[in-house]
Amino acid sequence: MKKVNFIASLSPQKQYEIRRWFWMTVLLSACAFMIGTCFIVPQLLLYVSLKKEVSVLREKTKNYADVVKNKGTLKTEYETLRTREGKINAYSKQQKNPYLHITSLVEASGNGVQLESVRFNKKDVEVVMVCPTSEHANVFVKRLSVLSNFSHVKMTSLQHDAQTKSLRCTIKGHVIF
Amino acid sequence: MWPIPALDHDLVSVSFSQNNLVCCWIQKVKEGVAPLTLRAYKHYPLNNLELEKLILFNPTIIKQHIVSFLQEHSLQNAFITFCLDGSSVAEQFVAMSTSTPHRSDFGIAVSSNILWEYRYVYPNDHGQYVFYVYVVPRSLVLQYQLLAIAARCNLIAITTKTVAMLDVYKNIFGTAFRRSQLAVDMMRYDNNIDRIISIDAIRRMVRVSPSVTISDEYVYIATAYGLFCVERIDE
Repeated sequence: MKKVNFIASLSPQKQYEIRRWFWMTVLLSACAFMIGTCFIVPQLLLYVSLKKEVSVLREKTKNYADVVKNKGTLKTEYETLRTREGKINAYSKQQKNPYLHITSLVEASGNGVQLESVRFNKKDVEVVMVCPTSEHANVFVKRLSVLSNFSHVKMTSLQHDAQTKSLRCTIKGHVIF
Repeated sequence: MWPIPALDHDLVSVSFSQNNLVCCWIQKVKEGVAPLTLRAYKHYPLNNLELEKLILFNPTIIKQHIVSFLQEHSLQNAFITFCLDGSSVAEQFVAMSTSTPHRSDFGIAVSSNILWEYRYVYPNDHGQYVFYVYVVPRSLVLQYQLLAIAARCNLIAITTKTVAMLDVYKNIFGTAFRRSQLAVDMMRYDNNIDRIISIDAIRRMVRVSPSVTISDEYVYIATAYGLFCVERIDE
């Protein structure tokens, strides 16, 4: 005889089936989630670390443009200085360099003696200086005569300057290179 | 209740009859003579018109009885069946000349207020076919459904005592069940199925504790046994 039931209900077998289906779905979902996590988490961690590295590098290279610009400027300046240094070296190394002679003249001056002009012309030199007394001029001439850089040093003129109340002396000599 | 209701592998049958509410918990056992055992049994007399002609006049009390029984034995997640026995459910054994009658042959007026169905039972000696016909008001079914909802019961079936007893008869005979034998027995007792099922037969099938007076309660125990068999909870 067929079952008599006044209500349309789920049979116990159906309810158990639904329950099994539910828990299997939950279990499989959990497994799928865990497996997915196993694959995704390392990549996610890598992504996070890379993101951090990128941010650190970005922070570091924030003033890169300024540094590059500064570097360019410094490079240009360096090149200019190198060029100038080269010129100065070339000048200082040439045989007829008057540097030592000028240095000697500067060292010999002082003590009231002021150099006004120094003119080199081939092997001749003409020094115009201002000194308070004629003694000063003589001492200066003697100092130059002693030096090995000059020869035939002699005073060619000694004039009194009324405005400055001092003596203007012109000294000529030969330059020995 | 979330995410999915828990389910126990138990069946509790609740029998509603005139002035009586009976809750039974039957389980299958592996040891012993009887294949089933009556784990719990409670007979609640309803003498204050709580239940009259199967109409629930005091559902609160009835709900309390059911809930207390379920709580006492931790059966909140068990499957529940309701068995109705009263005059509000019109039952009849109708003899028809054909074994495959049409619904209109029973002469029951079609109405949305009632629920009726028929089941073939046995062939009689006059070459006729006897059908079990029941008619139940839908409002009554709704009352019991609402009661189950209020008591938070996992209600799986509402049926009649006669159907449960016919299932008992069938299960007592098992594979040896024959409709011809049922016909002989039914005609002998004038279709009174209660008289066909003997106390000894129930004793053989269900082990009942000595605290339950089986001679007084065997109809309810038999009903519970029939519901247990028809719902096949043990499978």
